[in-house]
Amino acid sequence: MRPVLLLAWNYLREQRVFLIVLSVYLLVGTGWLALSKETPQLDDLSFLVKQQAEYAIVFGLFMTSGAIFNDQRSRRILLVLAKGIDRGQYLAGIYLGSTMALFAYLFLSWLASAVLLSRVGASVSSLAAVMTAAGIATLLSAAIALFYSTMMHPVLAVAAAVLTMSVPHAFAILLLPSFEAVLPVYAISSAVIGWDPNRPLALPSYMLSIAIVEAVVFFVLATVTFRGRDLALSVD
Amino acid sequence: MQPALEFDHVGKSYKNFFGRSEAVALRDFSLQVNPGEIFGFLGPNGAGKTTALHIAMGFVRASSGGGTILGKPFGDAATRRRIGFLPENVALYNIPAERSIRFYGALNGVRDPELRDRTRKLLGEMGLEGVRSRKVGKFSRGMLQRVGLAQALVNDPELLVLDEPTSALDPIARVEIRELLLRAKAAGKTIFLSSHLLSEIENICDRIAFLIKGQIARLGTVAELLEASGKVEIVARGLQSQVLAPVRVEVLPSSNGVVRIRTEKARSREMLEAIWQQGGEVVSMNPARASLEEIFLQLANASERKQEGA
Repeated sequence: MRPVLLLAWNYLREQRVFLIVLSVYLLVGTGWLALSKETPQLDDLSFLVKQQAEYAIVFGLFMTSGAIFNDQRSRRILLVLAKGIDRGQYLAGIYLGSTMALFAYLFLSWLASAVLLSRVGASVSSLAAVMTAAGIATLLSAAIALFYSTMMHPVLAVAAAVLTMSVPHAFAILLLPSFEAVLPVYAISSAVIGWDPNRPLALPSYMLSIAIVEAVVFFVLATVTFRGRDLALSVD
Repeated sequence: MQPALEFDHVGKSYKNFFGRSEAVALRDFSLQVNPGEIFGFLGPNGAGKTTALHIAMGFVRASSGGGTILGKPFGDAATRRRIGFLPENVALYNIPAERSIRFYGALNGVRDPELRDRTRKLLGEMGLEGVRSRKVGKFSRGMLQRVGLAQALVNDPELLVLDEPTSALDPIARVEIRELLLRAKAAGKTIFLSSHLLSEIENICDRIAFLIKGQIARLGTVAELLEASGKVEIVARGLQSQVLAPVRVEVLPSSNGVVRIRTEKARSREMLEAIWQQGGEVVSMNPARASLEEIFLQLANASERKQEGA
């Protein structure tokens, strides 16, 4: 477990500029809205909350899809994988690091949203559910992107991940609505977009359970695929 | 005795997107590195040296054949804890030198206080004490190579796999690293060393393998390889080198009125008589020692000629 934590912490450190920019953006935005003389509208704040939650899902896709590629391109991966760690541990480090970054972002978003919603007297009771749902959708989207990134360029991995998540959604529209439960990133995302601060989040809890299980499955698939691949480095 | 590193009929070809073989890096490559020896691995660019090292470390998989490293199949993660690896181009995360060495040591399961002590000792040995807190992103190539060597040694490995360990170092640092490797050998460690610096290989290696186009072209101890020319070198004085022109011999550059002649062992008697007849004096006669550079060039040229002929 220690190597995974070391790699996760290293990954977080590598992403620190991105995290600092997001944190400052949230802090400045919240401060500006909280301190302005005009009271913000509930609809505007609600939109802001949903936007943060959706951003996390998109960031999850991009962060994990580029991690292996960046380490391979810079050749830093060689010294890491020359140590007594399994490739699965290396991937777990990346996945844990990106999850920690995104959950930190969602936590900050939750704090900022809670401050602002309280200011307009809106309920914050379902806010935690929105952020949790977004966090779980992030876990799944990141795992799918990680799986594809073990064999593809990051841009293609993002495209493949988006396509993979779109297929059940398309089937749900064209064939059977219950297809939404397969890879339910779109379903969770739609529920977050449709969220009303005065009502509970309209999302069955089994969707979240399915997303967690599928995230684990995609992570295992990523590990198996990555173990069987040559590190694509030019030779002398 | 179990070899420290063994390649058993390893083949490796790189394939393109459609599965067609694009380049063959290794062909039926077999080699054994014995425990406690320093083994030199030589070959021109593109010979397959790095591919062989990467297969041993488990970065790439052999297309055919296999092998063991410290008695376990290539790619075994637990075994890598007992190995120190230095790649040709050292690439590190941009953190301070001391933290970098600690990071790689910790990945290999080394814990404090052992990790702290070893890191400090290595920083001293590599001449990095003064820059321990500086981020490696600001380091020169030579300094990066020192950090790379330190991280390879931090787990006190049984086997060192080094790809061009001194290519970016100045002559003083090269001597220091050479001494460090000899100390490691004296401590019972095995060193598998790929290098283009032939004098370095000649000075410290017990055995050498020349790899040409993915195959072992020559293998042996340094003495065996250097003396395997089947020629003798005669040093004579008191005669002009021109008088030897009619005799088919190789006259080597020399000074102080001394003539150095290299000829086939079978013709040594004929040569000695020719020198005496010309009034010369034979100073010495020894088996000719070809330099590693000569052997290297000879093998590389032979390979090129063979390719052109084909």
